[in-house]
This record gives sequence, C-alpha cells and structure tokens, in this order.
Amino acid sequence: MHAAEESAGTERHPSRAAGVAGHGGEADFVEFAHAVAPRLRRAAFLMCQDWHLGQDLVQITLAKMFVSWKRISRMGNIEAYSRKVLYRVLIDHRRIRGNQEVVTATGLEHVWEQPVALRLTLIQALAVLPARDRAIVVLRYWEDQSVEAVSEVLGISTAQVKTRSMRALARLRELLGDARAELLAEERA
Amino acid sequence: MAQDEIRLLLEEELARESPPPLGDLVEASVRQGRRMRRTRNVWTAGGGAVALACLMVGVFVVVNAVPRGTSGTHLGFGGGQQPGAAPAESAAPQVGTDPATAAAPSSAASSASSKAAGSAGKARATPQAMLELLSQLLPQGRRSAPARVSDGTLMVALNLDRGRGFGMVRVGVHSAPPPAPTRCQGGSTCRTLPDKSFVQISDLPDNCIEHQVVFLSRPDGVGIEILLSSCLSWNGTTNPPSQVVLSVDEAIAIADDPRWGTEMPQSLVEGGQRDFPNLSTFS
Repeated sequence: MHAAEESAGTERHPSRAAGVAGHGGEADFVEFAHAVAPRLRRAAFLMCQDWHLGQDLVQITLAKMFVSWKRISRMGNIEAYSRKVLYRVLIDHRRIRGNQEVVTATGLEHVWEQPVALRLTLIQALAVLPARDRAIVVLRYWEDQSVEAVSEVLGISTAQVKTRSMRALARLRELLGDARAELLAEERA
Repeated sequence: MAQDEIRLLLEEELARESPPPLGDLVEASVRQGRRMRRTRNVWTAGGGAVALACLMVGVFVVVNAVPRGTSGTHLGFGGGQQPGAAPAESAAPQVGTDPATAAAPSSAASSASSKAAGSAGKARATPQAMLELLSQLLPQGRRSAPARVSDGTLMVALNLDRGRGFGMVRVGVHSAPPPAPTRCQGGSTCRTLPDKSFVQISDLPDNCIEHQVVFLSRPDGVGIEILLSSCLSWNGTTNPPSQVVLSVDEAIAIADDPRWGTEMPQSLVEGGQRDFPNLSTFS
C-alpha cells in the first residue's frame, strides 16, 4: 500500500511549491516535509537497505532543516538542499557507527556463488559498493543529478565523481552478471 | 540509456518492497527539530554567559590588582605570579598548581581539590582501556580476538566463550550523540534506568554483526553501544555463525558502568596498554 503510494510520480519530484516557496513558518516546513519525506526515505533506503534506519535518517535530516528553516526557506532550491543534508547525515551515521561491516555481514558472497538459486537484485548489489560510490550511483541514476551536482553534494571533485561512477557501474555489472550487464553499459556522459 | 534503465530497474525493485508506514515522521522531525533548536539556544546563551563571566572575572582581577600593587611598579599578571606574593592571595593558586597538595586538607578548598584529583585520575579513553574494562565486566569465560575498529573511533570487539562456543561482543563509546532519545525509534524496545539513562534495544536479524544492539544514552551525553553478534568477525571468506553470548540484561549492566566514557580511569588506560599491546582491527 505504501509502496504504491510512494511510487507515485508526483512524489518522486515533489511539488515545486513545496520545494521553492516558503515564508519560514512552521506550516511551510510541515508542507515541505510531507512533500519530500517519501522521496528522501527511498533514497535513504537505497543507501542503507533498511527502511527503519532510512526513516530515522530522514527524520534527522528534516529535524536539522527545521532548526534553520527560516534561513533555508529563503534558498532557491530547498529540495536540492534536503538531498545534501540527507547524504551528509548518511555519511555521518556511517562514520559514527563504523558499520561498514554491515555489507560483509549480509552474506552476499554466498549469493554470488549460487547465481541460479538466488539472483542478486540491483538494490542488493548496491549494498556491496562503498558508501560514497553507492551515493554517487543513487544520486546520478536514481535522483537524476548532474556530475556537478553530485560533486557539490558529496564534496568531491567532478573528476572523482566520474571515475568512481564508472568504477561503481563496473562493479555492479560484475555482481549482476550477464543478465543485466547491458543495463549497466558504460556511462555515456 | 543506461541511466534511465537503472532508474527503471530500481523503481521496479522498490515497487516490490513494502516499506513501513511513514507514520508521524514529519511531526517527529518537528519535535526533534524543536529540541535541537532549544539545545542550540541553550548552548548559545550558555556560551554568552561564560564569556560574560570570564570578562567580569578578568575585570575584577585587574581592578583588585591595581590598588594592591603597593608601589605600582609590578602590577597585573607579573605581580600575581611572583612567588613572594602575599600568602592570603597565593593560597588558591597553590591548590591548582600542585595536585599532590590539592588532594590534601581543609575547608572549602577540599571539594575543588577532590575534583582536581578526580580529573587527574582520568585519561583519554583508548581501545585498550575499553578492552580492559570490558574484560572486567564480562562474565566468566574464555576470551579471544580482542580488536579495535580501524577508523580510530572508540569501538572494540572481544570474543567470549561461556562453555558453548565463542560469540562476539562489540562495544562503542560515543560522545554527545544526537539529542538524547526520549522515545523508541521504529521497532525497538526501550527502558529508562533509575539514573535516567535511556536504553534502546534493537533487533536486526538480517545483520549478524548487529544481531542485537543495546544503546544506552546517559544523561551526561555519553552513549554506550553494545553489539551482540550472532557471528564472528570476517575471516576473509565469511562471518562464521556463533552464539550470542550475552543476554540483553547483561549487556545493559555492562553499558551502565559509569567508567565508560571518552575519558576513563588512568588505571584502565595503563592496564589496557599492558594487557592489550597489539590489537587487530576490523572495519
């Protein structure tokens, strides 16, 4: 039910009214937050593969934005800013928890050894990538962000974004095998 | 193009997911945001008050120093630092400068001096000190594989065998975590201890390293995290399945020890250095 709700196209790109306008009041924030929360949560899920954790991270993201809402509401593109805050919260969370090992603990290696019985999904394959590479893939290919925008959000150079993006795609291709290799053909940027 | 196809594939896979309801996410964000804003305001106001107090103390010192500077030759800081200064004025500085005498005697100075002695007995926490304390707090059993996290944060791991095979316990110490939680987050169970520490217990059955997580947030802003694993550390091929060697209550009792912190008793730091000179790392 919620999956259906969240795949609604309007939620993928929240209304510009919520993303741009605003008078800095709490009502504006609530309206904005309702508009962007589903999309932020999906992005967080793609990053951490855990809906509950994703929800907590989105809550932190929105809470941080609430604190400075008066200033933020005067910005040109609040939606882009929310994305930036989310990815910083995600990276901070990983840094604090030091939980990179979650990846190794998922037992994906066994899945790779049994390609017939268990086919790896793209979401599962994403989990194998380092956090920053995963963020690049999600931002570039799920959020439709330009190389420059990704570089700004993650605070790395555009060259790094390109290199890591290509490397991440190659890794995904390797993980997913022939069946989906074509989907991940070299980036034509 | 590849870009669209990846997005389609992700959309397809996401559509098969059944995410939990968003619930009161936005309202919770607003509440948390208000708390954060309040904390920030308190800190800002507190910082201002401290700055004002420092300024006033500075002014007081200067004003008092001027008339007492007898001939007016060596005033201010130079005069105050002279070893031959009047005993009445030099008594307080002496307590601070000599920890040995600070621990000693009388009157109002004794509380300040005992605080000085307390902080002197602590040192910056190290993974070795954490392992030393963990070793003391764990129940009886064989121990193995002491390790620290490779990113330099305060997290350690130790395997314990209580007679049914080894199991891994990890402990992390965090300072000033996000505003102390007051309610349970998605699917966790929580309790508040008599000392007002807030404990959150999360089950992550699909993550053997963090099979159960006990996070104790102390009122002083220190967070102690205990990971009860159902597997051992990565051995290069796999995370071998293992026992969960502590109950949640035992983990809470361990986390509730007041010696955990970003500063720990000097004896633990020294003991850790002695007992765990070389540690392997995990990521």
